[in-house]
Amino acid sequence: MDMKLSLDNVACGYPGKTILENLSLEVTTGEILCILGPNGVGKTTLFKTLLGFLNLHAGRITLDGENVQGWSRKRLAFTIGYVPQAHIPPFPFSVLDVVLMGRTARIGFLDSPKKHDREIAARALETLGIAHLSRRVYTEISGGEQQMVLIARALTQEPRFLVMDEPTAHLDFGNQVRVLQKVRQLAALGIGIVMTSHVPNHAFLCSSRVILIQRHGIFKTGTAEEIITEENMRETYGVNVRLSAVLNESGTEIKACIPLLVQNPLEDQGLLAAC
Amino acid sequence: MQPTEESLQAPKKLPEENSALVLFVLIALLLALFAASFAWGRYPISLGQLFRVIEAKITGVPSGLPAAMESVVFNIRMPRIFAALLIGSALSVAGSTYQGLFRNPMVSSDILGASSGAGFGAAAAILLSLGLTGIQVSSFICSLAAVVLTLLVGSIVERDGRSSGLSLVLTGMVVSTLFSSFIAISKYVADPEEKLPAITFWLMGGLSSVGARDLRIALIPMAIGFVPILLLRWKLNVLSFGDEEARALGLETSRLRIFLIVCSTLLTAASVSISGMIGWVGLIVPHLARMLVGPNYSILLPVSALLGGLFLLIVDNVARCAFAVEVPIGILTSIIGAPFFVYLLVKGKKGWT
Amino acid sequence: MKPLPFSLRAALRLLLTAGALGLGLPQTAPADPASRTVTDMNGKVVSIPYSVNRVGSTGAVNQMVLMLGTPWKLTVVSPANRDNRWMRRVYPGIAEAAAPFSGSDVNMEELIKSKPDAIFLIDNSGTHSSFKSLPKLQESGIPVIQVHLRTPEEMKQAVRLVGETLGPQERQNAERFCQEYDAILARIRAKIAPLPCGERLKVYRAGGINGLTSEGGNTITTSWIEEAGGINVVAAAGIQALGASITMEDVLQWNPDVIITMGVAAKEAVLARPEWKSVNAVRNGRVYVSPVGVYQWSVRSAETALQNLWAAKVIHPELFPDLDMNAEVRHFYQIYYGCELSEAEANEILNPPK
Repeated sequence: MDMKLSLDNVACGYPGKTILENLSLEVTTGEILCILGPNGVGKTTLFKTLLGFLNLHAGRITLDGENVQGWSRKRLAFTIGYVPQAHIPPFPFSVLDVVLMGRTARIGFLDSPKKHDREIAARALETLGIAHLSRRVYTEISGGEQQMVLIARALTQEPRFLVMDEPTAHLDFGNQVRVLQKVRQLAALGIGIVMTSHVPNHAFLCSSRVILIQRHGIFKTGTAEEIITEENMRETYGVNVRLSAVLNESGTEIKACIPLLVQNPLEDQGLLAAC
Repeated sequence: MQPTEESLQAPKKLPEENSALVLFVLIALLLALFAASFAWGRYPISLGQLFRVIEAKITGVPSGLPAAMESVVFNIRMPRIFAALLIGSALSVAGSTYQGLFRNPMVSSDILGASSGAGFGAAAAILLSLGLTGIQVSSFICSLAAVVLTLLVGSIVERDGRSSGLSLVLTGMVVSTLFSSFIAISKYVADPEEKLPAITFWLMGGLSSVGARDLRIALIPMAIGFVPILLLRWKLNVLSFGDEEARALGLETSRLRIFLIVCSTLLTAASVSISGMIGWVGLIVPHLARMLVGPNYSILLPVSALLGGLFLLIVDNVARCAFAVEVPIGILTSIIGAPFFVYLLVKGKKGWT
Repeated sequence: MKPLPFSLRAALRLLLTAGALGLGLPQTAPADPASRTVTDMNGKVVSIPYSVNRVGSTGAVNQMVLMLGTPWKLTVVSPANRDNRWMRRVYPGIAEAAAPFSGSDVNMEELIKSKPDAIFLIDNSGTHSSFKSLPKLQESGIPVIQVHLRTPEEMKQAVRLVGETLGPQERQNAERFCQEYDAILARIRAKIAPLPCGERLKVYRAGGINGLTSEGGNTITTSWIEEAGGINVVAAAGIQALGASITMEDVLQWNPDVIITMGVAAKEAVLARPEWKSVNAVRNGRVYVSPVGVYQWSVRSAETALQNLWAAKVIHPELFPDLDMNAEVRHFYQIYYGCELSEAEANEILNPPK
């Protein structure tokens, strides 16, 4: 059964400082929502609010109409999983141990994971195609692999939604593509996905819905095609882009956003392409 | 994800796959050393006499051996052996817990000021001539007070209510320094012939003053601290990934963190209040345990406890047997701990230290 | 005095260093009449003002200054001295003294502010043997006179040196004390010397919070135990250290007949703990607290003279039936501090409270 995560007229920010106001959006399970926007406009604030790390300043967040305010962390974790950016934890846990932590909300307060939980963790590793990493040390695998492990951990949580913080950051080109592929695959499995990104093309690739956050708390929502326009990109990032389209092997059109660098590099005002 | 060439190599054996063996060896060593420690000491007791003394105690039939011999076995060696085991375990478990809570492998059991607090409590009690029990009670209370102060100041520093751990660690250092200066003041006003040496002696740490009764009393806070940590130990894995991740995974981190801090503090305070300041144990034993069985707290915590007890029992046996003059145990642990720590730093294996 | 030939001077200094002569004679006629010199117990010639009126030290030496007739010359002390009840009793003015000393350190500004003419430091005595601030002190230009207080001989020598530093009157009082000290020892020796080896009791001096801190051979503790007809079990075991941590198992093995504690806390620990129960001294109720007057009698001050007497009576009461310690204390305080103690006060010194 589909589930709907909605933000109604949400205002969010840090204590004493509101950053975004009157924000409404909806994500349904199976859908991908991509949060785009330049550095410092409140992308992180928005999804920290979504995860309940920051208190709402106004409005409400609902799951299938039920206000999540006051839900326990455990109950929230049943529904929403969080995939942070890969980072190095202080201790060299094995990959399986890291993935098993996804079971935290599902096991008793004094319990530790049992055989059943290990099976779920193993399945998550398989879903993401990294079963071979299970016995490796998390701190010793590559950044792309770590990102996959963190996704596996969130899957082990068995959530309906995944909130991903720049899942492709710091990854090489190949790994970026592989991670996006998995994101689409997860959506196809019926998981709702909210992710931040710096790359407009990723929104096209995931055929997702987009919320574009611009300076001064202005935002636009819609499909990738509606939002990622040459004009919007210029307004948001201050760079010129050209949209283009290519056909994939099955004949579907895939759009791409190509940055236009100033022809004479000496005239460049120091604006770097965002694509 | 495409398996890279590297990731396809047969993974080397994970340390935690050795846990059964490590546990077995540790328990065996511990039992052997426990038994042997009864036979070691400066008062000559042969194995035969030792068995007769123990037999007499069990059966109630007088052994015919000097009363001093029974006193050596049951009033001197036994409390000390148990004290070494318990305090070693308690400090190591507290150290492991703090390292996970603060996501920092460099913190130890006294990071929140428990040791300095205990030191000041003892110094004050010595100045007031409160006697041994008074010293223990006072150092226990001041130890807890120091940590409470750290938590209070820490909560002011982190006003948004979420603890990043780092500011708590820094506050702990500040409070430690504060109590260290209180200790310095106590030493400043202490009479240099009687009180000052007593304070210095206490600060260096030692188990020679621990009697069976003190141990029975200290066992209460130790158990109150130890049992919850043992039950919640798997959650420490999750906490070591940081506050936001742990919350997203479904933990109410603030409450859990405070609860675990209270438990670890009880362990530390109960230990240092009867043993004086014994440094390094709460820092190096968790590392040693991690090298043996990896970072998973499910196995790391019990191994830390066993290893800590074993370590302190060995060190205390040296302290009480090796020389005509008893060597303060805190000095021995420093002599062993400091080079080991340098070794860890030099080895610098990513993530393991 | 005519300048002595150099070789003679050197020989004299050698003698002084060895502690063979108990006093530092003036070395040369002062070139500057405003100053004179004394030779300290490290053999160092120290130039001091001709008239010395402001002195001080870290501990036991202050007791010596107080007992030489001019207590008001004591102007620099440690906080523990200033708060010491008996020091205040014999010389109330000590409350006004500066207290820059603490442990092995000194607050230099506070010290310089108090303008001392000379400072005494206890070297090799254990607690202050490594005086942290010695280099700083020597740089300051304040005369530093070092004393040793390891044996009764050194103790007497130190009293003479303090007397000599303070002035002629004090020097005379110091001499008188030394004679009286010798007389006390002679009184005891007359009774103790005939004692056969087998009747010398094993004595353990218990200190610290658990009674397991003691002093070994070549210390003033061993000296008074032996003068009083006992054997210091710690020294007999070959331990030399001051402030040594003893193991309980050793104590049980030595099984002392008499335990003399430093401080009430140590006595309470000894009596309360089950492991002490089988020790002879505890079984026979022979655990005593060392008296505490202006200074701890059992360590390094001149009041050790009284400790010899007290210990002799405690260890061998049968040999000293007529010795009235209370009267001895009052006599000593009257002569040296000019202080009339009541019987109750003397009793308090003999049975120190917590």
